[in-house]
Amino acid sequence: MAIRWPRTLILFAVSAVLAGSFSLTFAGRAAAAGTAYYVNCAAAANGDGSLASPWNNLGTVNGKAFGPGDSLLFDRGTTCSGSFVFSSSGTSSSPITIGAYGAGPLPAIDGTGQNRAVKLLDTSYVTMQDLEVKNSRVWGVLVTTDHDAPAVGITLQNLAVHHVTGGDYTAMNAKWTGLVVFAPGMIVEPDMTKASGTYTRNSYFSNVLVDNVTAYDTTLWGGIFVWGVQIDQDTRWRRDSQNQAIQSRNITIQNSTVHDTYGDGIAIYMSHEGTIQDSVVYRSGMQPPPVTTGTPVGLWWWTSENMVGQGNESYDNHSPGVDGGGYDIDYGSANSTMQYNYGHANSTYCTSVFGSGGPTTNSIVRYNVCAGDGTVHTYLKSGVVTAMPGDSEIYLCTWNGGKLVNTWIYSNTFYINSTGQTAGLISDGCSGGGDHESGGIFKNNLVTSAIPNVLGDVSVLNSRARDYNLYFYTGGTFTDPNPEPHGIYNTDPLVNGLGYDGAGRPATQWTLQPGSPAINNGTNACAGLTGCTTGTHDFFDNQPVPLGGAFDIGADEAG
Amino acid sequence: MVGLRSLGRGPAMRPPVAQHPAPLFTRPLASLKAGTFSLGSQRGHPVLLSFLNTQAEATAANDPSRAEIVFIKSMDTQNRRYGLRTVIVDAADAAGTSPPGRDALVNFTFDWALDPSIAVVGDEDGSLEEAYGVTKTPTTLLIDKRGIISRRWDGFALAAQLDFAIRPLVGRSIVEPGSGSNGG
Repeated sequence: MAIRWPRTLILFAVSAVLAGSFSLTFAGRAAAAGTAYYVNCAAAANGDGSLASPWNNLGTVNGKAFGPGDSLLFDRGTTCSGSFVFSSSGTSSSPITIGAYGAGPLPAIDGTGQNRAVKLLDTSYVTMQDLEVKNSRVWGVLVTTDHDAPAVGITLQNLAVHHVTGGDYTAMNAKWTGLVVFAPGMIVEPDMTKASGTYTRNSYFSNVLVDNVTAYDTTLWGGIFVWGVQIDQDTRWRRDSQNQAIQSRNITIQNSTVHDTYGDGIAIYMSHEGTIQDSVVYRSGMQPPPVTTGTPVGLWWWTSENMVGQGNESYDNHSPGVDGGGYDIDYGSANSTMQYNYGHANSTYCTSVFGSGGPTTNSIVRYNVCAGDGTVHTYLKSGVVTAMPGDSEIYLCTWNGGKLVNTWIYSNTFYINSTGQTAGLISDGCSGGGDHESGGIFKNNLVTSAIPNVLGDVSVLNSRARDYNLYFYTGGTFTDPNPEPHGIYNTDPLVNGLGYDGAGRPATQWTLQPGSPAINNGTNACAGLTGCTTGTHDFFDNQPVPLGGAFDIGADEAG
Repeated sequence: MVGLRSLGRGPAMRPPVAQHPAPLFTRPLASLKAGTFSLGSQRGHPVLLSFLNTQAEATAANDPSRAEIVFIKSMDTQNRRYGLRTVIVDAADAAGTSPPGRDALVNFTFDWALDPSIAVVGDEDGSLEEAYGVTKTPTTLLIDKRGIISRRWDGFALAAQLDFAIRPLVGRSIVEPGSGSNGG
């Protein structure tokens, strides 16, 4: 039996310290050196911020400054009404914690219809955790700057943010609104006047971590949204968007859930070194037509570099116009990897890669399961009902001088059952058409279709090297106009749960049964491609790839 | 890092493995309501037993206990209606931390919005971790209706691994295309 501190002794020690300096938190986490301050908005009288006499309103809290290592703790089970504005910073070794004390449900900040319920302004090294944030007008949690320096080391964890429904982003003509929004150099609310700073584009976010945040219900734009470069009430951000020196960086969003947003679900713009993982997005893009500010996607990034999206589920996403897909590597991005994701039942595509105004380079789409996407077939274009482009599983599109360089799509499992005009495996429906692509591949993919147009736009598919794919049309015989030398056609792939496109990450569905023709009939899709790697494991159960001496076809490596 | 409670730990015991009886235990529930969780009283139901670091902080590397919670919730959501019971044990010893108090465990259930059907218990004296030979977090076991350990994962278990093992125990086919859970 291990030697342990008696429980009673631990309690005694904690009580003794609390009675003296109130220097420990009740959050069950490591306490930093500093002072703990307490807020109980149910308290009858406003106190001094001590545990025995907590503050009881946000107005008092907003007027206080906090130092490195301090904690600001709200009493669980209570609600503070109004807007919480926080502008203090910790240090890398002594961050400030905004959190909860006591036991019970998350303490709530009720924005009561004000522009934002929580605003973190010009802060660095701050962790905000264990809070419910609700009922505001434009932002739930707004993290922003009004200075010309980076904001570093911001963590949001264990938050429930919801009901941001009173504002109108169309009036702002801006996407930087919604539930959890990072946007440096904001045009400051509430009157839309310019902030006080003189900006030289030196403010950005670095080392941001969002973990276990649930964000839902907004008629504003984003669920969890990172706008990477400084805003200065102009459109210079567009000119500067690809300048990595001024982009935000080291952004991680994980273990989070977003649903029911008018705009994007989880999105990162103009950043580098970003990861979105192990998260779920559904019913984003719920804004009714017509299009005003943009066309949303469930989970995506734009003009960003060295990005990874993995282990996510994105489904039932929509748009007031085009888009409304599950995942997107959008134009101006480089070195992107979308892997181990599940996309299904989206209005349009499971995954897209777009190019505009230059190249989108080195985009890897691998070990994903895409099923039953392309559920919406028309949209209103200038008030006219128009066929929806991209209601296929993959949507590749270039315009305005854009091109796709090295789009490597391999080892995915696709299930097609859309009945739209561009239904099928792949399509390119941009204005002017033409998928300007070089260096692309399409290999080792398992394609099962319930519709006869299995390939979709075959010319798009043929604009990249393709081979070692398995195609199976459940309704009959399928003929490939350009047969692959090592392709497998019209053979039942013998997968478990064929047709599964429901909510819940597939665990057994779409795995290969013994004897499947997909087993050991793939290839090293990256052979001869500089910078392309086959990955370390499959979608389902971390099986190393290859297994059994050769690569399997599809997202499962069975043997 | 080795937690204070690991000092003096006895010689390593062979952990209970698959096809052996799961050690029985009864622990107070981490809940605002009083109550206990008893493994013995779950007979007739398969049990998903997961030892986690419930107080793990978020890290960019995604702490495996925090990532595992997402899958444990998903498995519970998908299989609860088929009879699965789910219990999370705070494994402070294995995590190298001090045991959280009851309030912290209660708060864990709120911070992660756990369904009340998921039991959360502490292991302040470490005896449960010792009985199950848990040396790392997460460690997850699947116990069948008879109380026999069906599967054990020392380390992070993926949803597919869990689901493959759970389905036969709750009478679900692994080839069904049917609807899944609420995500996760």
